[in-house]
Amino acid sequence: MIDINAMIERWKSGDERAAEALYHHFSESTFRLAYALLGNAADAEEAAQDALTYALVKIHRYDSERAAFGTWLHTITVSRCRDRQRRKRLARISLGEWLGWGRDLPDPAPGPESQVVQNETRHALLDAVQALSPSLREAIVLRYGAGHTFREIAEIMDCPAPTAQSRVRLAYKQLRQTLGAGTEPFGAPAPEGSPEAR
Amino acid sequence: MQKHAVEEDLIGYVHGTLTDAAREALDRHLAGCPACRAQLSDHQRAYRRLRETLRAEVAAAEAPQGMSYAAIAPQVHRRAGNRLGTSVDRLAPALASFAAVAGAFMAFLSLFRDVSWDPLGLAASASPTLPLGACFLFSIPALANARRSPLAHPREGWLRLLAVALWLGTAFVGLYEIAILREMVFRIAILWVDNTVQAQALALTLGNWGTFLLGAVWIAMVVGGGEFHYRNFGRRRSWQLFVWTILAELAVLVVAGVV
Repeated sequence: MIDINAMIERWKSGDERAAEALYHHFSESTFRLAYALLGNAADAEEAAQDALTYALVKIHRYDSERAAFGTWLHTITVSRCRDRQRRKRLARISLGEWLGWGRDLPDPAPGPESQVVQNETRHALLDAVQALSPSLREAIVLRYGAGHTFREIAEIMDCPAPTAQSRVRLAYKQLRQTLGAGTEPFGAPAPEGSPEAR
Repeated sequence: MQKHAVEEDLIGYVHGTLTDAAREALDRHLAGCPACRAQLSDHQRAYRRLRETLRAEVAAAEAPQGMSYAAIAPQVHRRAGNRLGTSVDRLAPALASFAAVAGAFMAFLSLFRDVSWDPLGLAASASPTLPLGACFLFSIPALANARRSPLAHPREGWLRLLAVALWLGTAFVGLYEIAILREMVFRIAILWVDNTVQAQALALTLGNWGTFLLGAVWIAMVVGGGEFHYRNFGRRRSWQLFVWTILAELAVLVVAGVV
């Protein structure tokens, strides 16, 4: 179990081994957060690497009195994921296609590598999470997936704490509605006699 | 007929977002209402399953093998070699402290009437400039520590009040600026007009059409801006739009003063 604050101080002093230790400690959780937000491994890898690079290169901007390092890193990760989603939305249609010009322009959507990713087994709940609006998706992933408190979620999402709470509640309701139709474990109550019914 | 608990309260109970008073009231109701207890149990089961399943699905996602420290090591190495960032970080608190002390000293001096800049070789009285200098110096530590201030994280109610006040304020100023803009356009247009009759006709045309068009633009901006701020309340983009709106309105006032 590494001492995060000690690692940060050592890295601020210039010890690159401390930077590598921080990377190895946080890389998995950062990737998983990005994966839950973006829905595919390729984009999640890029977003996570961007976030980790920024956090380590700009370590002098981290204020330990304001938030834990993990929370700060997740704030950067959420920001990178938003940027990636924004670029994807804007790239969805090219100007030529919109104007109906003759030449077929290349599809800005996923290439071969992402096609392989799309063939991987998708999880029902993650699919439902991807269908949520961006703000609800972030709130539910940060709360359920990463286990952040509402105050930390408010800090990460740059919104008031009551707003973070209402987004989590609303996301929960929408997930139940989405998954409840035909997905027994989440929507309908457990049958009588089952352990969960007790 | 017994009144049942609101579903929103049950969901808030499960997520731990109810106030203490609301939770106690709901506990009292649940003690005597089996139907609501059953509904609460249902929500608690669903909450546990959703949370555990999402954590399990996210935990099952493994980082690709290409994601390694080696991929970012060159950028990190460059940062290790550049110590300028850490030097600035060490100096910043010292500069903020010096600015605070200097500002306090200037504020103290401004209490006296006969302070002058003679020691610095300037004949002018220092009294008018000392408060201004003190304000400027105090702003340095204030800005440096703004993120730590409780004012940086006000309650949501105050934020909503501020957002509504800003929206209404910019809307009223915008309404006033319709007249200003129309006047500006007219003053520029009459530079190309030869006589009074033409000027009067131009004034009438610009007055009618200008008011109509500017009014339509104003309505679109107020309604569209209001919806944008409602959807993005509390987020950085909403406050940024307020800042840009205020700056644009100030620019119109400045240009109108020049023209």
